Amino acid sequence: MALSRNEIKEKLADIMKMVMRDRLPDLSALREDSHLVNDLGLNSVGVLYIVIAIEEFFGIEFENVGFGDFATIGDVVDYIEQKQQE
Amino acid sequence: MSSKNNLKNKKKKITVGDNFLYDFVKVTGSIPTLIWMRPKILHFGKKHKIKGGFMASANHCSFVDPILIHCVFWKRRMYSLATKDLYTTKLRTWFFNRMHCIQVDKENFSLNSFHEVTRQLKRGKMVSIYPEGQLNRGSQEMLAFKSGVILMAHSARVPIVPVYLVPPGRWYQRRAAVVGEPIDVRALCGDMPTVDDLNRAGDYVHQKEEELKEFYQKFHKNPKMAQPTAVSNKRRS
Repeated sequence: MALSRNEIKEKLADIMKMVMRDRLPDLSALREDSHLVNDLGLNSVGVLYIVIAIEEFFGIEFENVGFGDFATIGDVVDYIEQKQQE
Repeated sequence: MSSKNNLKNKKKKITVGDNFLYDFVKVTGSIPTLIWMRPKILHFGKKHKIKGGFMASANHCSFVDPILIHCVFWKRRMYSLATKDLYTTKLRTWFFNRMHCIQVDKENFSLNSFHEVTRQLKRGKMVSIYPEGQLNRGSQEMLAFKSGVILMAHSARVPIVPVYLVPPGRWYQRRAAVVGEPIDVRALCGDMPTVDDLNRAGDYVHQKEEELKEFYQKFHKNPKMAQPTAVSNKRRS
């Protein structure tokens, strides 16, 4: 069953907690326009790690996309939604 | 239905073309390579024989480094990463694919590349990788390592073998490489590492390669002084 946009965001927050345990940003303020690098302090490996965790968590595979395609949380949520519909 | 699928899989495995060109180039290229490079391969500590998949992590100081790594792991078929800029024509694409190259876009790292690397590692193949992320020609100092390499090895559950490639002098000079002991990434940063754990593991691999470099420098100055490490370990094994 496809998850709603808010549910996806909640799951994403859980994943971020797991990935960034040591230097966790304020996830209560996690907005769709939060920038993965500038606002959340992720580097390229952090983004890659989150993507892998998303793949395992949501059972989807990111195909034909690169890091540059995901600038904000909203971009990631959009992609997951799109994949769920497929 | 399932037996039909099994048959299909079996047929796929038997195809000759997959490794033919790779093996042909490797074997025919070995003679000029051995004459030109005369590779000297040193082992730091105990020499390990790894049967399954593993990742060879090396510094990148020359465009012929992949050939030198082939010499180091001669008995293994190697997969390596190649920048997207090399895939300019259909013929080149075909050739690089046949030569076990995995295409990588440096500007916008594709997840397909990541999946392909982990897939080959899980299949028990060897993948060579340069964690410096670029050719570091002319410098004696290694650049900082990118920890994406650690993530790949961690996801595929394979060890990393650090390799120090001695920067080339003149084109005709002998090339040397020092092989370190395999590093178990899962033991190093746990099953559920954070980004910082991965970065720390990347630093650890860098440190190990610096040790290999020091070992080579000692060996170069006085071969007898540096040899006992390797000799005593050989005796132990």
